[in-house]
Amino acid sequence: MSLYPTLTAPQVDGLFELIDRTVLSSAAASISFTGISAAFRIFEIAVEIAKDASAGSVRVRLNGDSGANYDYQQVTGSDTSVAASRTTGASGFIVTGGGVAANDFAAINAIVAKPLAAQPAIGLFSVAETQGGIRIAETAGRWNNTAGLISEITLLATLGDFAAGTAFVLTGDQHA
Amino acid sequence: MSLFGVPDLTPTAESGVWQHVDTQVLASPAAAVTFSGLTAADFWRLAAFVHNDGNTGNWRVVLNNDTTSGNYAEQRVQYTSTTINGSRWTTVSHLVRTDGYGANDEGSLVTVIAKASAASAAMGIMASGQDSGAAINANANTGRWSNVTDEISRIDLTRSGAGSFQADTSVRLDRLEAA
Repeated sequence: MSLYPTLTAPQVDGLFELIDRTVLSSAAASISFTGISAAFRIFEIAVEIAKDASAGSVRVRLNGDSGANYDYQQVTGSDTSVAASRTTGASGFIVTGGGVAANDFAAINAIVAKPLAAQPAIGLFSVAETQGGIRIAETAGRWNNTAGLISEITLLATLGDFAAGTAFVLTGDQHA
Repeated sequence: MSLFGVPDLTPTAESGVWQHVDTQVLASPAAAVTFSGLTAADFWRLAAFVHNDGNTGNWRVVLNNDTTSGNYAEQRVQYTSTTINGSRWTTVSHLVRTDGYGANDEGSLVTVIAKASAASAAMGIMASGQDSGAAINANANTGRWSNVTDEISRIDLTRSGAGSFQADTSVRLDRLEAA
């Protein structure tokens, strides 16, 4: 311990630590956080998506893996319709159900855990979305990677871009 | 930043982690729990233990004291025993609302609200659980507040009907900044 605390963010007991955050100043098709320290094993994600003129969904990928390595169970609610679906062998988690309406907004709150390299990552995603009216999507996902820890988290727009003003905060808990 | 360039160890609003704003524990029954005078933030999180008095009443999250019907839209999914029901509401006067909460029911809820700027609609996600004696029920809700001119400066947890929240009701508010 030096005389003064270091200028890097101190670890505060009981709180997830900031890993990265951003507010888009211009439209982008994806938001990617790379170089995440292997010390982080549990992540919380808070996002407000501002969608451009194209309606679309949001895909989440880990470590840039676009292989058929993602399985997820999803429950969606749209008006009186409540539906369940399971998707296997996907190239990412589609965490929206109906998607985000053009020029509208969505909120995502998620927890993703991968405590050990040898365990798959498990994610829980709650989404408020707007395509065709206000909707809800709850997703439990598994990334079938048992060879590494999470070093990168990416959100991708399936159509068009995320508009300027999209806000993203990634925090994490260090197990190691 | 404090004097001499030494960082404050107390997290600040700019530190990028959830910041505790306030916790209110009712000392006496009240019809609402209000957090006012809030400084703008990109995300808010409301966590509550709620206890109805002897009157049936659902629990509602209201932003900036705006109870104008039609300024909000809401999607609800209610889980009761083996039944799951969905419903969409487009003329409501709240962001999100629990369903089917009876007299003396207890429950908990967590609501995350995103409003990245004054020009963004507020989007809310709520999970809640209800203990009504013999039954335990759950709700998952989302809501949209169509205000695209104001930041959130006030958040209320209110209830329907004539009754109050009991004195052990407790509500915590946190905030998070993306920039």
